[in-house]
Parts: sequence; structure tokens; C-alpha cells
Amino acid sequence: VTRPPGSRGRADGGRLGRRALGVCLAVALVHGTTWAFVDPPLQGPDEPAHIATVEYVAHQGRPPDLASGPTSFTGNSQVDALAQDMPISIDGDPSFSPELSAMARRDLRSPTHVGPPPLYVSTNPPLYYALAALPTLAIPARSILDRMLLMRLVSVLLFGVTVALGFVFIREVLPGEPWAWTVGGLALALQPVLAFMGGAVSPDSALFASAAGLFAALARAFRLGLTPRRGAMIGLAALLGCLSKGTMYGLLPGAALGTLLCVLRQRAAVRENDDGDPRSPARLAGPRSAARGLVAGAGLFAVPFAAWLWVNTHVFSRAATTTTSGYAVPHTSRLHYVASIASYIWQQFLPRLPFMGVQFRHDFPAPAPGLAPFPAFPQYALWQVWLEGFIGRFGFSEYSFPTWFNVIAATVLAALGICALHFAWRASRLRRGRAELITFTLMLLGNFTLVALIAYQYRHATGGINFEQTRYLFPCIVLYGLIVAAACRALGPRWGRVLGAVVVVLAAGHAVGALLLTMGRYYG
Amino acid sequence: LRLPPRSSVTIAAVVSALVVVATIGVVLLHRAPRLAATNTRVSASLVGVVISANRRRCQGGEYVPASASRMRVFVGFAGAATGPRLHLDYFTPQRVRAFSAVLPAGYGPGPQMVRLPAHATLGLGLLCIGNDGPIPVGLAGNLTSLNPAARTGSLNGPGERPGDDVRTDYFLSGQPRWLDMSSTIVSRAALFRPTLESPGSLWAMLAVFVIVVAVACAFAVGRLGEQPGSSSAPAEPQRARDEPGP
Repeated sequence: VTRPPGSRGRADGGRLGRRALGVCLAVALVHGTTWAFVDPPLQGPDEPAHIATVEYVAHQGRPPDLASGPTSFTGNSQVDALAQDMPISIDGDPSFSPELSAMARRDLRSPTHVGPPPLYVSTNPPLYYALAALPTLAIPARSILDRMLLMRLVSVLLFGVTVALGFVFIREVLPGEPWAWTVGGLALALQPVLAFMGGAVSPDSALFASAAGLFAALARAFRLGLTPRRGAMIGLAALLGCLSKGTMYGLLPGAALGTLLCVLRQRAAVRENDDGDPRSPARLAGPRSAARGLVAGAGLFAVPFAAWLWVNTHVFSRAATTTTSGYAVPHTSRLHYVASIASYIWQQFLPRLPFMGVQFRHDFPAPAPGLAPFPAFPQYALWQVWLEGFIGRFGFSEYSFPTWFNVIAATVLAALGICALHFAWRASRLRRGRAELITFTLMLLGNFTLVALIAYQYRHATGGINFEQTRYLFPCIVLYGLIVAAACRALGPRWGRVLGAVVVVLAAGHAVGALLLTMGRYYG
Repeated sequence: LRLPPRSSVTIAAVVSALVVVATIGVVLLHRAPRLAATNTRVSASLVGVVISANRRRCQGGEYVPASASRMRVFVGFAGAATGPRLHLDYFTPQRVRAFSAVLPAGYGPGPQMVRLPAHATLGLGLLCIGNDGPIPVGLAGNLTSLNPAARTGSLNGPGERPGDDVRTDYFLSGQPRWLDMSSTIVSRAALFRPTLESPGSLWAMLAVFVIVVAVACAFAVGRLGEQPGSSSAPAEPQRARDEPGP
């Protein structure tokens, strides 16, 4: 409880704060829309399957049945025709054939057969698919290309929500310097991979927006105190995320701990600061209010989510399964399993130690005897997945910036990270910032651990095919904006502002460069 | 170093902007071989299509735009130091010969460029590759991906066989600059444009984005250049300013 009495009215930085929020939102919406136009059809990650799922939900009015998978590529005749005929390949180079384009458009005029979509996406919860289906229901006569664009625009709106909530999060965590919110918010709005996902049909957009809401609600509760309303916001964000994609589960332990820390801190604040003033922050958001906030948050999350699980199982007859629940890894013992996963996580960032098994091959294995070798991927996960992937890997994770660009960008990111770490170290010495630091770090670790567990199981079940992608950590993308803002704050008010100006301009160039890269990849 | 904050911020922003503009300018003016068309659906193929000695192999669905001046095939062979002569005959869908080209004997294994004569655009044409030498040659396929993670490499286009054809990549003449491709980019993007989009929407959206980003940068630089305390939005008391968050 840090806000002094009487400062509530200026919590959002006033008119300029709102204007900065508006600028960040406008940049995000235009950035996402540009990606929706530039990225060719079906070129977002798993986009054919996601479009087929939205189409299924729109036609059937219910989530897909999980009893059987599709009888064709996606189960949707129009999406299949588009994937079959268009001169833009997922894996190869474009053919640019007008004849194939004309054939595809002829095929798209035939009636759509909508069957069950692929199981690897239909196991997702239905919230995003239902949202994306709404505009397609409003314009049912358009071709699949038009419906795809409308679905993409829904993702763009969710990208805007993500950036706006990210701005709010940064504002709540770093309240002292409004200029830092602008820098952090623009860094989010101009992040190319986030915008690329925001311009594609994918439930990740709803997941990122919900996760950003969860971070913002927690940050607000930490600063202003937990109340029933703020607790409800925490519960609602967690609920929406869990109804969008299972990756949200990784954030829940950290969020639960953060909510508990709010309660404990407010109890401690009353004991320490109760000076009898009825307007004291400790009294305004005291332990009883915090307890009610905890109950409101837990209730708003647990009751509807339990109801969804019941409806999912008993009304829609869908098994309570997830995309990756089928990838079980046989192990001799639980200890061996844990040690193997620990080794897998270690080798993502550090060199393999002598007693560790090989988790990432550094050679060029042949796919089959007598065939040409194909490079194992990733060979160096920290660089290839997490850094190159964050700087910009697009399409079906198939093209990225040239190495010289990645080296420069990684150097800039590392410098920002060091500055932000210095800032966090100073903050951790203050009692005030410790709970937030623990909570947000735990949420990031939870996100990473869940992705690592799934990726480990997938990799071993499929004989080494990679699962790891940067976007799986984007539920915590608001932390990127926070890191950029904190790095600027670390340099003090004078040089921090100079760094902020440099970061914003470089981020703008990065965003434009990513769009040019994509146009060159597909059309150039 | 003793410049007022607004000047420091403005100078930093202008220098950064110059670096960004210069980098983008270099990229846009860079000359490189650029594709005119290709029949490949994969970045690298798992399959080699073999043409025996003194035999010919034909494949349909070949799109060769008039702008294509060179064709690339990936060739492998065994039993000789150099590769045999290959002759290429292109036919219209009505099986009328359109043009021919030759890869002379004496080349090594790997990618080979074949110069094409001037020709009209060939849509869904037929390409026959004849092996005039005494040894078989293997040519890289166009469908079966070498990438074990690729899911859709096995899809066939209309007029194509259910299996791999010989991969053929066609290149524009010379080494065009990225900027020279601007009108080509519009026409290529239009191939699968939703009807909700207009032909030039690609460039229009990019232009709008650049303008919005420029305005946002100017806004941010304006905010950053404000003297501490001059903002109308001092949200926090002094204690919060002095202490680092979170």
C-alpha cells in the first residue's frame, strides 16, 4: 500500500498520460492491421487450422467435437482449396502463378464443407474462436479470404487491448516518471513478433490480452491495495485467459501468490501505519477489503471456469484434454524424468555438462538412411529460439532477419536487460518493490516452465521435432515493456530520457524492417 | 554533455532516425537475384527425380513468366566427372512448343543456371527435360520437404503430379533492387487479396503505418524532452520519484 491519500485522481498521469495511452493504442492498431494486410493468407502459425476452427464454431455454434480429426488437411473445403492452390507455400518460395490464383478463386466459389478441424487446435478452449466467428457471421456471404481478414481484424483489436493493458501495467509498476510509460508502451506496440501474431488468426491474441490484463490488475492491486473490485479484475483476467488457451495455466501460481501477498501486505500495513486517520491508505484498502478481494478474485475465476469444464464435458461431450496431453514420455523413474527435464532446461541456455544427456543435437542428422542431412533445430536454443525468435521469426517460424541484424538487436536487448537488472536490484533492496518483483518473476517462470514441460514431451514424442517458439512466452510480453521502461529509468531522468528516445526510434525502424522483410519474403 | 534535456533527447532521436533511414535505404537499394517464379513448395527437397540416360521426363503445371531469363535446377550424378547435356522443351497447355533451352555438358553437381530465350508468359505449361548423356542424372524434387517439421510440403498444385516433379526456379534478368520490385509486389500480393482490400492496399497500409509511427516518435520525443516537473501529469509525490520501482 504505497499510494498516499489524496493522490487517487492523478493516478493515470492526467491528460498527458491518457494521450500517451491513446498514442500507444493507435500505433498498435495500425501496426497489427498492417500485418493483417501484408502477411499472405494462411501464413500465421497454424493459421489454416485456426481459421478452420473459427469456421466450424461459426457454422455449428459449438466447439469442435474431439472424437475425430479432419478427413482432409484442415477439414474445411475452402481452407483446403486455398492451401492447395495458392502460389504461396508455407515451406518454400512463392510461385506467383496467376493460373493457380484463378483456380483457387474458382474453388472458393463452391459451397463450403465444414468438418471437424485438426485436433491439435480444436482442443483449445473456445473463447477466441467464438469472438473471431462474430464478424464472419455478420458477413456470411464473403469468401474465405474476406472472412479470414475479418478474423485477423479481431486479433488486431486484441493486440490493441494487449498494448493498452501493458501500458497500464507499466504505469502502475513505475509510477514516478510518465515518460517511461510512453517508452515502454511504444516498445510493446512496435514489437514485430507480437504485431505479427496480432495480425494473424490465432487464439494467442486473446491469451496475450488476458495475460496483460492479469499483470495490470495485479500491479494495480499492489499499488492501490486489493479490493473486491480489483480482486474481481484479477479473477476475470485469469478466467478469460484460461478460456482462450491453456498456456495461461502457467501464470496462475504466480498470480495466486501475488494476490496473497497483497492481502498479507495490507494486514502488515494496518499494523504498522494505523494512525487513526480514516483516509489512511491502510484503512482505505485494509485487510478486510483485501480478503474480500481475494474471495472475489478466486470466485470469479473458479466458479465460471468449473462451469465451463462441466459444460465442456457434459454438454459438448469433449474430453478434458489439451493440445499436448497425448505426448507422454516414458521414463524409468520420476527422478529420471525430473532430471531429464532439468537437463533440457539447462541446455537451452548453457553448455551441456558431461553427465547430461544430449537434448539439443548440434549436428546435421539425416531424416532417413541414404538421404541428405537436415540441420537439427534448434542447435542453440538461447540464440535461435529465444533471441532470434524474439527479434523476429515469422511465418511458420521459417524466416527471420539476417544474422548481422540479429547480432545488433541482441546487443541492444542485452544492454537494456543489464540496465533493467540494475534497476530491479535497486528495487529489491526496498521492501516496497519486493512483492511485485517476486510475483512477476514467478509468473514468468511459471510460463516458461509450462512451455518447457510441453516442449520437452513433444520433442521426445516426435523424435526431436522442435516445439519451442518465442510466442509461447508472450503471455508475459508486458514484462518486455517494463524492462525497456526500467532500463531507461535506471539511467536517471536525464540520460534515461535520451535512451528512451533512441529506443523508440530504433523500435520503429525494427517494426518497419520486419514488414519489409515479410514483403520481400512473399512478394519480392 | 551539458545540453538542456530537450536538445539531448532531440539529437539522440534524430541521430537514431538517420541510422534507421540509412539502414532501410541500403536494404531497398540492394541488388540481388530475384525470383520470377518457382514450382517448388519446399525450401529443400527430400526427393531426387531421376532421368535415365537418353530419356526424357515431362511435367505439367509449369508457370514461366515472360520476365524470367534464367532457370535453376539442382543436379546430381554419378559415374562421370561432369554432368551430361540436358535439353529443356517448353510447351503450352495445348502441347504447342513454346521455346527451348539447353544446359551444356561439363557442369559439376549442384545448382545450375540455364539461360532462357525471350518468350511469352507460359501458364500451366508442360516442361520436358531430356537427358542426352550416357549416365542418369538426379534432379531435386519440388514437393517432399527435407524439413521433418514441415506439414504441408506434400500438397500438390493443379496440373501437378501426386509426387515430386523436378524443382524449377525462374529468375528475373539482372539483379533488380528491392525498390524496383514495388509494382511487382502489388501485382503478386493481389493474387490472393481479399475483395475487401484494394490493389494498392499493401503499400497504402505501410505508408499509413510509417506516418503513424513518425507521429508517435515525435510525440514520444516531445514527452521525453519535457523538463522534469514541467509536465502537467506529475502522478507521484517526490518519494515515488526518488525511489526506484517496482
